[in-house]
Amino acid sequence: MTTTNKVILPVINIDNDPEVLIFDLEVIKYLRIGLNVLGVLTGTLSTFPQQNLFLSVPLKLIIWEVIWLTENNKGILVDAKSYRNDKLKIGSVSKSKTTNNMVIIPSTDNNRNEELITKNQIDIKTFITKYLQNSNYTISKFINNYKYYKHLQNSGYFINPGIKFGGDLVIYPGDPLRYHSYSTIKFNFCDIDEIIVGGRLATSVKKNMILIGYEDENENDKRIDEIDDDVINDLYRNDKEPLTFSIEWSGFG
Amino acid sequence: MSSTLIEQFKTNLIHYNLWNNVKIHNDLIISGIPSTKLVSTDDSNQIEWIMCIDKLGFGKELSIKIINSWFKQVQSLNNNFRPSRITIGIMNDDGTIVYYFVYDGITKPRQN
Repeated sequence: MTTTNKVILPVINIDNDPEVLIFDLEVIKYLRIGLNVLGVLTGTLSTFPQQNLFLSVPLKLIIWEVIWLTENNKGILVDAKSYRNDKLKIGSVSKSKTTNNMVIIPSTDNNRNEELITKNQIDIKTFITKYLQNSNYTISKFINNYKYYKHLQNSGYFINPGIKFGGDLVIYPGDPLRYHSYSTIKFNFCDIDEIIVGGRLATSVKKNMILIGYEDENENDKRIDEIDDDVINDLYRNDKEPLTFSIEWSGFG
Repeated sequence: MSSTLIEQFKTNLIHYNLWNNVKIHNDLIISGIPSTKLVSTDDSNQIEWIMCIDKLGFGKELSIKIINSWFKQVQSLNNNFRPSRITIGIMNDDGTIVYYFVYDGITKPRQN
């Protein structure tokens, strides 16, 4: 199988709490403009490490984005550290700033080394297994949450994490640099207080709150030790669409 | 004699919000027609379906399953037509009532 039309997703720290961090601006542009995938900019300025108004590379991809890119064959997970070590061994590191340097793994380059990429590829099963080692997700909850993300992503929304507005996700009708966010997303359920707090907050910042979930939540309480093919098949299966409801303050009463 | 929760909602809708044709369907659902349209994008004032909830008695979680069952119940009361929105009325133990719209599907927020 060829990897040439896939973006490289460099995985940092695969053994313990893995992350996908992207330093390549061309890739960031492609993800954002071509695929509606935003990620979160996390880099700060070395002289002012506490400011957070102007954040830069690396772009951190959230777990749902990583799985979505892998599922749709848009990206390939590569172990950044072992890739670099291999590259050093074959001596193909130049001093050039943007290509072939130690940090960026070339995605858009002409001289990307397919052999090294394939050799250091990380299986999505391994990635998720390692990712979940420190979490208390159950398998079914993890799968369902991904499906909610997938439903929204495939509907064409731009998606950001939702903690700023007290939800699980925030969706935008277009690029967030150009569009105001419409809605905060809550997975599965909310409590009555959340309707009032969330509904009021959302309305006052011109949003609504959207609940997304399945009617029959097949709760499988199995904890995750090892992600096997069954779990991946469940993740990728396109069964029925989740239900969505939008909640908004009524303006009377 | 104290009135039931649903009767208190009816009183609130008729005498405080000035709705017409307010009908109690069961322990949960009231329908009625407001005197003016509630949302500027509505064509005219239309029948609204209120789910009447006691905040303390309801328990904490409002799930997708519960909301969908409300839509189904309203559908069966409404000539088998699933409405585009229902309204949740939440009453606190001090008698305060708040109303929230629940739309079916993902909708754009209202522009105020």
